[in-house]
Amino acid sequence: MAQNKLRQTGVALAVLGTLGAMLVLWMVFFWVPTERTMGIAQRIFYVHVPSAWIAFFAFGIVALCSGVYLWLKDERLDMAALAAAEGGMVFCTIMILTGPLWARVSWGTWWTWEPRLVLTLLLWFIYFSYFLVRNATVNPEQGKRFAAVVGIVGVLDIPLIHISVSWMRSLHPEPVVL
Amino acid sequence: MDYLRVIWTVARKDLLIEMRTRERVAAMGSFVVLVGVLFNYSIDTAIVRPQEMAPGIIWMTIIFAGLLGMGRTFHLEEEDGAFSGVLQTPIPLDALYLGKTAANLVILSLVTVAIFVVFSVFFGLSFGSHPVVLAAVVFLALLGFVGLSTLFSAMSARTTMGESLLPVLEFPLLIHMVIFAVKATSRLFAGRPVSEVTGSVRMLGAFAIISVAAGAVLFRHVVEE
Repeated sequence: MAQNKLRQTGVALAVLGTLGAMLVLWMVFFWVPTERTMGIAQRIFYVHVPSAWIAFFAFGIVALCSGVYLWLKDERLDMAALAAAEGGMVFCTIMILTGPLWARVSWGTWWTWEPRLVLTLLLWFIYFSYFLVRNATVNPEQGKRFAAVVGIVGVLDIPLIHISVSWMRSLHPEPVVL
Repeated sequence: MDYLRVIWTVARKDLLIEMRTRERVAAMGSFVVLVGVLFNYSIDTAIVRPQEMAPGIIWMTIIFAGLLGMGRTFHLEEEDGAFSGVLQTPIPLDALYLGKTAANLVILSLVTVAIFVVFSVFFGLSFGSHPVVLAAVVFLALLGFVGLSTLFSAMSARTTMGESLLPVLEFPLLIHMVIFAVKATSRLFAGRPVSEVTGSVRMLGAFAIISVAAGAVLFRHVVEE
């Protein structure tokens, strides 16, 4: 009964999410006015920036669930961390792919070695190492613990991304919202 | 005081073993000299002054040499399942971690001194006029590096990928250390005033504290069976 209710909730969320995504895509491509200086390329902002927020927020969930998992040893926390890591990695990938597309148009280059881009790429690799370590052990329980440790240590990267923008000169746009 | 004694005992054991076998120091030392030779041929000295590239080259050599050596931290005890014996002893696991970290720090510090000497001889480098500040920068950067390496080498020793996992695990997290260590080292080599490096020293100090604290807290979850 509970399984059925969970499944129904999942389906409802998926349908709502899909409808919401379709609405947002319509707004991005048709409803929002075209930006004066960057033209239509600016519309990548609406995909790139939320992807960044989700990637970082998801990793925060990974770290939180990992920490409490190591403390309470509750499997559900590990499952939540894994789910967050999977989603976070997808959005981190979207962020890293859309960033250069926008950069090519607005900065004239696919990539620059400025700190925020570099540290975001490294966040992707932290996600990658989370999955790598999880699957590299003979004992799956050990893999979950190792992944949790990687998640906790990796979350140190996130505030340093924000700090690095103010510590080092950067041509990445200064934070507008956060 | 017992806690400190445990840390000292673990560190002393590792350093004694290293002194007798010279396994890691020999490999890291050879690596340092040979990398110096290779770097000489990878820089066109007609275009670039080695003094300008030296900080980056030095820190990359430290990182690669460190990975080479730190990856072996638990190797000896993993053989014949000796580490299970270590875990049977009633010592706090965070003290075991700190002892291993202390031993690694000593070994890597010696190798780092060798790097500075070898590169100074090969490239005629000048280290600026603030050796104490330079030593502080190096010490804090190494402490942060070794703190992470000890934790992750315990983890990689228990995976099917072994030491090849270490770069993937560590490099994303080492970028902070590299940025501030190279920045501070460059400024000191260029004879800039100490006030220009205090920010980097603080960031390296924060990184060192976070690495060692996180390692001490998380080590038990990596080694428990």
